[in-house]
Amino acid sequence: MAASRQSRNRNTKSAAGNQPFIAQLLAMAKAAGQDDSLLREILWRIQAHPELAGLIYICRHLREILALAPEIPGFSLAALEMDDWDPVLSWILTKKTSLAEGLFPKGRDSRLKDNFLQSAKNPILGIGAKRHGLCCLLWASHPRLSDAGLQRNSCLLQAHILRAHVAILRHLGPHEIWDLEQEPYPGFRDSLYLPTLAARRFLRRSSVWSYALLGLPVHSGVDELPNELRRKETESATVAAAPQAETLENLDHPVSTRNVSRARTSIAGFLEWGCAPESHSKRTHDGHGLGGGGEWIRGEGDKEDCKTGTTTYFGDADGVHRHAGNLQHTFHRRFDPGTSRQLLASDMDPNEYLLTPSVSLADDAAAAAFANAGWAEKTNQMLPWSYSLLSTFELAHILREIADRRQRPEDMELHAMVQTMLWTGSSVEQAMALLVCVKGTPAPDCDLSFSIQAATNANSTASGAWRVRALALPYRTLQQPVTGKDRERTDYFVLPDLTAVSDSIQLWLRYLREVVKAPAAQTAAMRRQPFRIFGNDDYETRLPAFLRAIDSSGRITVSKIQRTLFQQIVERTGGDLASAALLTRTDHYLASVRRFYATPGVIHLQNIYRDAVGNLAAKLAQGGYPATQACPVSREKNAGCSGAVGSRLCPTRHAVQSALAWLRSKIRKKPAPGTDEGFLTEFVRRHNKYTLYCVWSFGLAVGVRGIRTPYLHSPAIDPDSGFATISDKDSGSGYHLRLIWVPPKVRQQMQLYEAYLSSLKNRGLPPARRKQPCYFLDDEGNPVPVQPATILPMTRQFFPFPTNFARRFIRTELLELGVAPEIMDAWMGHWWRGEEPWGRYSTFSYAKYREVLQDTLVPFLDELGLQPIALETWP
Amino acid sequence: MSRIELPATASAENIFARPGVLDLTPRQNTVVLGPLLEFLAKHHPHVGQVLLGIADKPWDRNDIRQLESLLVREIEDPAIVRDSLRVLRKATAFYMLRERRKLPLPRIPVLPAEPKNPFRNPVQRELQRYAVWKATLKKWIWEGDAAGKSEKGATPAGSIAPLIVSAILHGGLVNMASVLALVRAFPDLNRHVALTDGRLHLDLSLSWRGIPDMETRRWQPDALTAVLLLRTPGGRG
Repeated sequence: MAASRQSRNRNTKSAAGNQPFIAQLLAMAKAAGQDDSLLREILWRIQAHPELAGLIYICRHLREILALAPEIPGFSLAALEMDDWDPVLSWILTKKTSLAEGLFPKGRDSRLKDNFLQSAKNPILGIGAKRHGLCCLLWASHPRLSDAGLQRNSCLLQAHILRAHVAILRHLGPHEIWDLEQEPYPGFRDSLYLPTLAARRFLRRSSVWSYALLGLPVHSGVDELPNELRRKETESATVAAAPQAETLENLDHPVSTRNVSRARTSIAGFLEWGCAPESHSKRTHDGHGLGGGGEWIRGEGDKEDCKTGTTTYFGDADGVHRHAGNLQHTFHRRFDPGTSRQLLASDMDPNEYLLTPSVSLADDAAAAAFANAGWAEKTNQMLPWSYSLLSTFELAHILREIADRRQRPEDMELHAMVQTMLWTGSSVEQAMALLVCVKGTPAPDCDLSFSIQAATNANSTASGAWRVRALALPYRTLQQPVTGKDRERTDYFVLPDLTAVSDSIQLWLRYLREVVKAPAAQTAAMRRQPFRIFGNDDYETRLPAFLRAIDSSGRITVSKIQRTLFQQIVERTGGDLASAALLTRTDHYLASVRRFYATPGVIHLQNIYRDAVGNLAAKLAQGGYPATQACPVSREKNAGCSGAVGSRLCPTRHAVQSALAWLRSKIRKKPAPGTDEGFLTEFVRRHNKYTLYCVWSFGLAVGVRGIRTPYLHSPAIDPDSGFATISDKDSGSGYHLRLIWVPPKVRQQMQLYEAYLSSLKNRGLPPARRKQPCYFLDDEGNPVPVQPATILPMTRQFFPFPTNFARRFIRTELLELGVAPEIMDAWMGHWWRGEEPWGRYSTFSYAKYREVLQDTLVPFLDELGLQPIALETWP
Repeated sequence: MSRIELPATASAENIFARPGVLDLTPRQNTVVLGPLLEFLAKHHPHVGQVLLGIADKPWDRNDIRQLESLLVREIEDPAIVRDSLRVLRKATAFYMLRERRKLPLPRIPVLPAEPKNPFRNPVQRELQRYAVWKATLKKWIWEGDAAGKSEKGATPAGSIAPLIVSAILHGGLVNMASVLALVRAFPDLNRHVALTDGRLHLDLSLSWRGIPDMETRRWQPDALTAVLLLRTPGGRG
């Protein structure tokens, strides 16, 4: 035990470096005479959230679990060094109020304090459930508080998971966990997360899951439980027979016995791992099921992370050819924690740099032949005449047929479902989770909801609005917003119902109210709580059957309907994949990197949506389906219009203008006469600010990435055309080299800077050279390279944004000014295979590119106040 | 052919014991197989264990996916991944035949060629070269005119060099196959050149993968190139 305590102390020195809340909590524990190294150990073992979200409830449940754990045969708290946790947990619980006030004083984000003390809803969901799966599970207790059996079983299940979790982490040894981007091997965090997700499912209110939880052999010994769970799996017929008495309550929580079975298997695999972590072999899965294991190669259907692999389907994922002709694109990820840390510090996505395309894997010879013929490249071009899209006439035909059939209740429901999918670009799963609100319903915390204006009046004009949760980016570092200087982001945005989806939703709602007499669907109940309108769990089978009944050719699939709006937005915007992804909540692989550089305003997104939906509705009208019923925008006309969504830390125009103006004023400020020492300080200060101004000018004009020396020597730029080539991402093959255009004023600034550097020759400083076109000076006046590590300390005080802020800022602003996305992609250097502006089949014109930038970027830079300035040479 | 070193634990049923029966190409036999066996011995994927005769239980689809993922994850060079998977496909296919079992095979690896970026070289230098070639062409044309008047000896201006350079600089003949087709057309230029509605065009016969005359491409030169073409001896007809 003494040796392990030493190990804890060793960890203390290295951990919590960049986790301010954890560091502060440890300091408070130490000041209160508690064992801070033990507390650190606990936080590491449970993988606590860096904002300490939900910690109070986690501690409370941990104490309950630790009290029950000795009842489990083979669960030794001492063996896992968990026997001394209780005093520290008890201290946290008794001092929760003072801790909350100390950690999150007034003036700080009140959300953090709320999350710390949160008891109403799981605070880790949405802010790190994937990275802190165990915490997410430990926070939860079974919602049926009065049922002691359920409470006890859920607690024991948590105890088993906790034991396995701690055993696995102990086996892996001390680890720099506080740098959250690290993991022992790719896929490790998924392996921890998926079993906790499976366990959380058993804590649902639904009768199916409750019944399954009661049937879990959680009293079994540590070693026996995995086998018991697997044995239970074969008895799933029992579970299937149990919840025959479906109630409306169940409709709210659709589950299937197949999911129960999967969850049991997942937990069993994880517990086996925890029993013998040393003999665990990392397993790989094909993207289906929840089995505990290692890295996944994922397919198109997975929403978790499309970057580890994407699949190109010959037709549809759910089409008649789904089992043949598919091509999976794989990526090799370099495991480079150092680079990863640097990139994260610059608020960049490490996958953009660390992932490189590897082989594509074809299911059969046909797919291989297509791949060799450039099929994947063509797929990436998102052409409007793809086989996997529906034509306007096909779509109009389906919608007409569905509308004609909606007299029957089941078809009425499917009609509303298809309408929801079509006009929101949702998948079946997303549409199933739709919550419907009426006037007075509190805003729900869900991905998609719909507000109807007059739910009770059968003769009223249908109108309403969609409320969409903005698609979150998988950030892995904590960055506080720069209040007042960055675009204010909102979690939700509202889209108008332009095509009277309200009609079909209200029709189905009325049926549920008047015929089914569903209590949760009544207006009074809906005022208290939003209603999940699509309550069945078999849409995945019913909907394809319904579509096959309309068209027996197999052409019409659910995927095609879902994809229609996304493709429509891409076509109407000229390829704005990031906006299409945000509007339809589709984590499309082509948009994954682009979304890190897009912070569009909600109004901009609403305009795109209006245009795309209006155009599609007009085309459908031509095809014989009059979808256009321009409804007045609901009472939420102005709600959700402010703010922006997407990536964080995008400065406002005013913030950039102010920063540039401040920098200019500092550069122009005449030095006061003083001592030699003061002279040197003043000289270094002005030189560094002038260098920063030049680097920013260049960065704002060409969007150079946050690299070492993000600048060019002006002879590398063609003086006639202003074109030059930069390589700020390339791995050596030249694939990511890009042609840039440097505006005349920026070139002038570069020449002024080079003239200034030449004048420093007398002071023993080097002139501008190709390898070192710019440099900062340290306190002694020696040159140091311009790189993120030297730029950030300089800008932190007056402009606290990452060094590559210009890419996010200019891209967002110019797109809102109407610049074509393909121009911005060429400017950013964003392309996948087939999208290259210089590619074989590309019609991209660099002459047009320069023309557009001349007309838009140059005036915009002028508006920012970017003017060439000279720094007089000093004697 | 180098002798393959087999793992010490391999039994007589090792598929790789007789590489000859696997229908491997000479390159696969000499370059790919050795590192692949080392890889299988190091990482112990189930499929590898079965092929090496160490395990008996046949693999399933998940095992195959695990092996594919392992190769992609551990090997950075996609060409090696492709080669390894090709050998594994042959080995697994042979195992199926030998054991008379129907088992999943590794998927077919495809490695699409990475297109070459035309901006690999510094564009500023390329534009300078372009300017120099334009100046050279101008000089040749002036020299050609002067030589024509004074009837001096042969200069570059008197050859087809200005025509080729102009075709590349202004006429859009930017790939080698098209330029070669233009040169090959000279001996019998009259057969290739036509004038339709005041517009000159040339039918260039291109080869495809070494087979001549597989494609005919109709090229319309720009005005300067057309004039130079008409001034060449073969083009006057």
